[in-house]
Amino acid sequence: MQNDDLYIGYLDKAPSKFHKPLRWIVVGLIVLLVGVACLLAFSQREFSTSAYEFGTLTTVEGVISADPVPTIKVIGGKDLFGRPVYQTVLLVAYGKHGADHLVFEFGQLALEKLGKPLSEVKCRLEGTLAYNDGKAVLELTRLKEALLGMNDDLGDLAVDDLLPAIQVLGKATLTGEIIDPKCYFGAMKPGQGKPHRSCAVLCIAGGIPPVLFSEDAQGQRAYYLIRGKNGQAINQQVLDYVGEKVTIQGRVERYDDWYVVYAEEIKF
Amino acid sequence: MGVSYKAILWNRQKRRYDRIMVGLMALYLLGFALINALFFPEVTPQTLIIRATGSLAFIMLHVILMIGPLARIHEAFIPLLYNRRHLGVSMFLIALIHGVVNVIQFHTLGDLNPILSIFINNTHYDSLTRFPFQSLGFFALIILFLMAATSHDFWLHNLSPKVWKGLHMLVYVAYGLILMHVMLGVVQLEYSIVNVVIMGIGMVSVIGLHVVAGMRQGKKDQPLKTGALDGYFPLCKLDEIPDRRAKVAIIEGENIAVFRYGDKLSAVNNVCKHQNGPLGEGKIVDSCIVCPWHGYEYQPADGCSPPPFTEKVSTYALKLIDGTVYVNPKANAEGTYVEPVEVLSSGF
Repeated sequence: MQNDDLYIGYLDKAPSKFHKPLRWIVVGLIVLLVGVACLLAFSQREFSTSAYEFGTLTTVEGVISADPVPTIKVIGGKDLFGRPVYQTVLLVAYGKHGADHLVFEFGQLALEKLGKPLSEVKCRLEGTLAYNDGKAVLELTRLKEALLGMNDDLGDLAVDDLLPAIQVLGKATLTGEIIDPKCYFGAMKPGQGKPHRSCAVLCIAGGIPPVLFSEDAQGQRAYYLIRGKNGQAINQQVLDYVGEKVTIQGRVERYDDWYVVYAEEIKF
Repeated sequence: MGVSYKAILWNRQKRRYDRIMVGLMALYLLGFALINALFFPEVTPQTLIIRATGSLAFIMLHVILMIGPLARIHEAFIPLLYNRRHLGVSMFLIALIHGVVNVIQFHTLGDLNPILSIFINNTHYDSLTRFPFQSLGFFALIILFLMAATSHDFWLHNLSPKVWKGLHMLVYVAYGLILMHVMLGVVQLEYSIVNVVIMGIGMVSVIGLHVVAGMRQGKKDQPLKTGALDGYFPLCKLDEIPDRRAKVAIIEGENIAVFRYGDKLSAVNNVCKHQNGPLGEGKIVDSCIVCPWHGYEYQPADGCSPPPFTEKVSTYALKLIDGTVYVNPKANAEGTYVEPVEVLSSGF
């Protein structure tokens, strides 16, 4: 073989003059890769502390409501003043779907079996929890099978204790981002912003209630369930605005531990 | 070279190339994962995979695009060029993981077909800031797939070098699509300037190296402007051509490499049939011209690859008068034997 300086790739050995430069090229690539990995990793925005208990099913007991959006009000005893202590957990279905149809079926079942509306019945639901910022979402992973049982024995609670506490707060102009609560409160990180937009659009189009996430200059966060002016679902109408900074004008009410904005106008 | 095809003709150098490549890829993926595990424990596995694979594929694409001009600027980079297709196929596989995990994460389990969802659940195609950037990544991935699928020499021969080269030049379209995919996607989510700076350095490096390599090549490719003698153009003095090497010139539009080997001179077309490599920058090894890019071989006297291979390049007539090499730029049919000019018998 008359070769001592031309690189020929199909030969077993490269000429010796290539050895040293190649070592330096590999060292350079190592430095480049480690450097870029560090720069990209450390320049990421902080991830939220939200949690999605993938693979773990949790059982909760409470009162299911379809209005303004599917929820279960989980009551954990009473406070010092005898008022019920509760958390209202949003209900969603498996995947990128809302739980309206499931709650409707549970309501039919309550009427058939107990002769009472859901608002006067305690239900036991099993599902996957997502939670953050004091808010929780229960994914009814097993759909209809998520309903483990229902009974009309309210214990020491009166029917009035189960009714939602509604407080009208008046008209407001709110600025923030429309998110889907299932992803935002746990299933995905980040569950907001442009890269997540496609997913949020699918979730909201699939019936998961849209939520306006608002954060003030001091970092105080607030979450508003979005309904139409007359309380109707407006999932399809908000799709164009999902994942973007928007302004919503409308009537705001407090509904147990959630705010609801009845949107009259949404704009970029 | 085109006789029969095997998936990969492994040798020691290819194995080393691939081991180093896989090692560097693993270093990046594990390093990125480790940093996240230590400093960002809240990250989800899906987000980690999406970011690690997306950024790695982006870095690999830059390296792939830089190897070509770097090899033109300095021969130390030629070994990286030799198995660049392994790097390209690996980059496609990493990009594919990025794309598939993204589709599973963001576009499945809804009411729309996941692929359709990429294109129609955000229809702000008229807005730069709201543009559905995923669609750009999808088209880039299609191009990368076509390139990876046709990377084997089987396709080079069956599609023809011209079509194959044209198809593989689409890598620059893919690069543009990916730049926009990143700019209109994750850069809009992350507030840090680091992403923009890294992208800027990468883009300037790729463009800058291409410009520098192009300018150097342009200087080399200056046409010879001397007068002809009976159709023969003076090329150079004989002693300007080192043994087993070539002198290259563009004469009357013909890109010609004149090789000297022992006491003989022969001229062939300078463009390799494989991937247009510069034969004149190669060398005669064991009686054959070896292309510096991928090792394709040609016999200097007839421009034919040694049997059983079938590639052929054009040959040219030469004269040696008073120590000056003259070349006739009229190309002979590819594979035409031309008696080599004897250096000693010419009285030199």
